Amino acid sequence: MEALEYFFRQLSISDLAVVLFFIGLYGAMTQRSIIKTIMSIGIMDVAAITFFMMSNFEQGARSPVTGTPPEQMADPVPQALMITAIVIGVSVVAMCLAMYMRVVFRYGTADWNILIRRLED
Amino acid sequence: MKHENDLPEQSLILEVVIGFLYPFMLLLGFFIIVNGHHTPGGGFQGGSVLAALFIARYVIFPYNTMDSEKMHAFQRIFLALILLTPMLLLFTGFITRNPEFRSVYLLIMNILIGLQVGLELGVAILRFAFFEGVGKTWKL
Amino acid sequence: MENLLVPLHMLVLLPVGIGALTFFLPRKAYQAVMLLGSLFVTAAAVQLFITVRWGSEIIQFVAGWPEVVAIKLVADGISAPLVLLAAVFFTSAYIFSTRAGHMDKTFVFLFLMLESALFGIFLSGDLFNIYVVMELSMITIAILIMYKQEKQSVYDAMLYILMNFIAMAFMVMGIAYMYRLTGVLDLMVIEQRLAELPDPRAAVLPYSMIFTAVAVKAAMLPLFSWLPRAHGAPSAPSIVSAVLSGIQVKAGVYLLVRLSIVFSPVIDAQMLFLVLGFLTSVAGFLLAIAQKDIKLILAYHTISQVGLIIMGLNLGSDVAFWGGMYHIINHALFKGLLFLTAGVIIDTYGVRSVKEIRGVFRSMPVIGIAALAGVLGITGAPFFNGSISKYFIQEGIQGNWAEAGLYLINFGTILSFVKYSTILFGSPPRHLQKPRKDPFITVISLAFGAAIFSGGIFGSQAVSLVFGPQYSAAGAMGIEKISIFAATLALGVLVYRYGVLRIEGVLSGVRNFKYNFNQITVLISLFFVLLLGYSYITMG
Repeated sequence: MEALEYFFRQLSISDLAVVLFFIGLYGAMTQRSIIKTIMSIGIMDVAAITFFMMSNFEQGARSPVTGTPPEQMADPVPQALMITAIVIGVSVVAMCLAMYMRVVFRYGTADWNILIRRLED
Repeated sequence: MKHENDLPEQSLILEVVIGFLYPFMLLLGFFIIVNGHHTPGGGFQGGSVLAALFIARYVIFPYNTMDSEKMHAFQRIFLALILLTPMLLLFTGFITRNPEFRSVYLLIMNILIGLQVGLELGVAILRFAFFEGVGKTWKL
Repeated sequence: MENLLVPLHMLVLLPVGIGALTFFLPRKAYQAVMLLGSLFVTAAAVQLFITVRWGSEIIQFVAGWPEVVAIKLVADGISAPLVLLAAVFFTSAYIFSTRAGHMDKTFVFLFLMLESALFGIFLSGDLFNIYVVMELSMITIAILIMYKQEKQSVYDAMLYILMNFIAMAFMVMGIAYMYRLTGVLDLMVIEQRLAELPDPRAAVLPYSMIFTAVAVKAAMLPLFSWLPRAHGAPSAPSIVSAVLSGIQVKAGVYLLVRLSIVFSPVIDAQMLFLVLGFLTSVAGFLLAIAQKDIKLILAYHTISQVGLIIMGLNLGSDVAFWGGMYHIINHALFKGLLFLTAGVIIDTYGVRSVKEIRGVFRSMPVIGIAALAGVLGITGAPFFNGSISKYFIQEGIQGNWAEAGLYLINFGTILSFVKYSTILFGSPPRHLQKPRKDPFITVISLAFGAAIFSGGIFGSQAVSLVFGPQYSAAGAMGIEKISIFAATLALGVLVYRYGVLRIEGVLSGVRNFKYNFNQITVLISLFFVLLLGYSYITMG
């Protein structure tokens, strides 16, 4: 009992991010509807980004601007890089959704298995 | 404002609540944009909150009365300004020579990026919402 | 850096900058401007190659930041020839389609952006930069694939982008783990810090994640489902297919080499990639034989040749390594030529099936000769450049099983191209209209054909010119090799006549088998688990 409580107490957001990543992967493996696959892949991407941002996390660190002593500065690299990654993720999901709309209008179905049967070759 | 062919389930609760929250969303968006230099936030994040205003408007009033072409033209103007400002100010060394203009430069860049991102995501949302079927493509 | 015409970061940005100029010029003017811009980029790439080859490697820290924290661009003995190849290839493909109808402003801009992204992949020196340019190339290629929006091109592009987006999510996780382990993102510093890790087993998980992403990009078994759709799609203009097959899969292979070097202090998976390369090769040509569409034959065959390149790069001997690198250049030349000529053939004949096209030699002699040069090059005919690179790869093999495997791959290649070259012989159908004479197409086809031929005759000089090491290729042009090739060719023709044409039912079953997207994701996860298990077990 003690060990279990200790285990749950020391979980952090990074562990949540890893669990979300694999939930997203599971969703991409099993969902039959195209839009749910796109959502699962979006979840995977966001989980990976969260995992990156939580590296070098210290409680009580201050923002890395002039005026704070260097020992208390938070790490600026993950958040700066992940802004790029978030923007890329948003653009790719938007593109996927646009392609999805064109596919659905053309073939009349939003299900992977039925769609394969209706392709033209 | 009611039309003859309104959807029968047009929700009064949504209308009232979103109408009440609308100026606060606008305020939050601009707060995130303008304070980007010392709290988490900045141009892109605040711009996305501004784009949520378009979704809110679509939820209440799902008719295609906004001119997405004009918004797209404005977005292109802001994009050109975003590309011009660093070329004129940063790469010529003006900011390195007068360091007291750094905060003004950051503020201008944040506001330009925020407005551009808000407009462009709004255009994308409107094009998704009023998609007319295959066969139409838009200029870049 | 002082003696470069164009600094490295400008070389990466220059094609996009030139492409952005298209939007301000009318059509007549921008063709000339694009051509001049492409030639200038090629000249810069030539000068970079000369500086690196006869000088030392060039490292540039962008904006002058210190070593560990800066964005780094590196041009060394492996990446400079590839940058040159990409620049020359893009310029030639651009000249080839000067008169084609689909080259409007947006297309040219996207094409040049793809060139920028590929330069970025070859020249990047740190992990996050690689991630950003890989994403950029993925988005650009997805738009280019579905550019004409014909029948099922949007589905092909959607499949491509979903698979690669999963791979990119794996890559971000892997990069995040590496950052936690070592604290830096710079490739050389990571290599040093990995050697000093207290517990090397911690590098197993990021290794598997990053290499799953790279394997999707390099189209290894079983993750190559996106490649035939992207390369052989009916809607992709053939210039796009040529560039994809020629350069973009090679970017995946280049990343494989580069990241293997980075992880080499802790994990060595050469045997695994050797076996995977072999299986990819066999699967590639087996699927290529079953296809009816000429572009799909070429696209599946690219998988086979990439498998061969990966085999060469992972054999562990120097000769085979440089043979594999030389095969990258050769394959770009002949596969690019074959795709470009296939595009012209499809435009003239109007159909895509290998059974309905006949008599290319009679109706379009120049295209026919160029296609024949490409076919001879890819099958490894003596005096053509394919034989030189295959000979070098063969020199590095020890053991009878591996040699037999290589002969099997060669036989499969010959078989698929016997099927392909049935379009060259015979007589053309009567209703065919005379194709217009296009000087650009003629010039580029003959130039590629000449390069293929001279790369064979002067093979070992070419390798020592481009890469450095001196190997003698006299054995490749000896009587023994010529007779082996002739015998294999005869055997291939016989097997095609009496074997392949009989089992058409089986082949159409193979052809129509498609993977569901869910099954593809399961395969990606299985590959990840395989890499995890293998690297954990061989760590000892």
